Amino acid sequence: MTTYTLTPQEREAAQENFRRRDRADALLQNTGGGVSASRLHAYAQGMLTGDTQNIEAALDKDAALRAAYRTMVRDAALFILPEAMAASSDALPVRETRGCKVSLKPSRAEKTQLYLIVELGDTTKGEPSTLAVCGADNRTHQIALPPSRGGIIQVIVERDSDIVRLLRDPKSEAYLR
Amino acid sequence: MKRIAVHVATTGGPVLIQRITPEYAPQSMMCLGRSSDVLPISGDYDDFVKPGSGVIVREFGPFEEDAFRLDVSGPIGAGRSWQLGVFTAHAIEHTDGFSLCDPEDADIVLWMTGMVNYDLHVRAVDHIAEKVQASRKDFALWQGAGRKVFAVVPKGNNHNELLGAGLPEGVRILAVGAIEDALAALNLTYAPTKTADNGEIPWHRQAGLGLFALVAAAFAVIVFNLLQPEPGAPGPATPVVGAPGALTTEVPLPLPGVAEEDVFAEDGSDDVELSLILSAGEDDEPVFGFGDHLEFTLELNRDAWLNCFYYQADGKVVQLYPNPFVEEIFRFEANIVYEMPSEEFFPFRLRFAPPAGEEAVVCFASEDDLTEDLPEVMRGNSTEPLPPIYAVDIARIFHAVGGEALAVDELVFMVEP
Repeated sequence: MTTYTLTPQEREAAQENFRRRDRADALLQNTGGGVSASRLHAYAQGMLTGDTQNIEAALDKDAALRAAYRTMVRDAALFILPEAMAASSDALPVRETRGCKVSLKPSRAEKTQLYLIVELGDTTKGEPSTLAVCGADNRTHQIALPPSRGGIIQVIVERDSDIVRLLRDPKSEAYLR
Repeated sequence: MKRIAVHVATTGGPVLIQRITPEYAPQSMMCLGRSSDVLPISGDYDDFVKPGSGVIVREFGPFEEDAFRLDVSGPIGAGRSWQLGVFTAHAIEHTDGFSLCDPEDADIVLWMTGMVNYDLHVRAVDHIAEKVQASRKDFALWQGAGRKVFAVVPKGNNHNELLGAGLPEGVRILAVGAIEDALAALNLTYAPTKTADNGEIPWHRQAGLGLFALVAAAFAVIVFNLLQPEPGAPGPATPVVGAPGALTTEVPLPLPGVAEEDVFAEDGSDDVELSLILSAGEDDEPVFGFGDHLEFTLELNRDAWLNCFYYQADGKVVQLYPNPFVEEIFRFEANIVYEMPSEEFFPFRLRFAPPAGEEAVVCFASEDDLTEDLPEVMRGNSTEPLPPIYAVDIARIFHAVGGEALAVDELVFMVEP
């Protein structure tokens, strides 16, 4: 018999993980689309490697699965940025929450591109590696983020990309995880 | 408008710097082919730009934006050999009358590799031969299109490696010790817009970009020292005994030299300026121990006469070449790497002895034999130290008799126990 002693922190992390898995199972009781709760949970946490096309296809078809997925993404988020603030409909939105700010700035070099800038004031929660944005229909788009430099993450995105479209939608919610 | 195509030499081939755009963003980025693909070295480029860690904003700023997007035609891997090309590209963009362009539209094409440190010295890099090999097709294309092509590398070992790498005929070489050398060769200047912490304009900006302006402006403190003859050797240039109590003085010294050339001159022009390069092998700042022998190489781009001086750590200056051990003074030929010592050209050996400290060899190359125009004590007839009144004024004396048809280079090294 093998025994393993958990530290209090490990015990707490494991309990939280099981709680999330249980919650995911509950969320998926009436849906699933051929996607297991554990795979969707891993996908939501950005821990799933390999082929994810079947998950994305299932999310595209199944509204209930998307709702479950959004809940999982929200659970896994280090920062939740609920709504966009913009001075006008043409202006680029800024999202801000305690310890974090996400903004878009135009590129002078390429008019079709924008700088997506994540400013981290609080790094005690860890460093995000993915930005996911969920729209009102729970459709989610996400992009991988490079490591921060001096508390700033900067990537270039296309102005007409889904992630920008969703970030400009005041009804969408953004998650950094 | 002078149009210059700047390429970063990589082992995967030359990478064109397509454009540099100031951006209202917190970080500078290096992007691939005007796309949103950001190169892995982008963070290093940001460090190179930022004030504090880098030199671009310090040298060319302040800017309203303080960040740049630099687009390149291909990937650049790890390392910092891109810095010489990137700095030069920023200087081009910052200078009126110059612009970056594609090689098809260029007056000249630059192929550059070298690291640039915080003091704007150009440092050696690896893989020179591989980079040349990977660029052969491009060299042929550029030359076939009638472009003037320059390979710009750090002076010293990289220069020697380039000479041995089989560079295509017709590709000119610029070997540079400091960023000023590269910019001076391109006639690039930029105004000093910022001051150092002490409120003074940094030396590398005061000095202007002409080599002779540098010579006139720069001063180095030389601590007097001792150079002893090798027992049994053909003899020392100057068997001098240092005076007790080191004497310190300020002696005008040239800053690191450059193979200067008017890069925009028409082919076949006689306007190519004389240049001289001294090298002590792989190390830019070599260290010698007591008992070691002084060895270095020198190379000229045009036939020239030579005068060399040894600045000892004890403050004395002795004439290294010519000296009484040299039976015949002759004109050195262009594009030959001369070794010191050598039986034919430098028939003497020098051995290092106490005290320790920084010492230097400074050589002046001239197209005319200046011997008769120099003071008697500087005609190589003695191994005694120069009288201080001459020792502190060597550069000015040579400029007075040699005018601007003069090339200067120095080799600075440490002598340790």
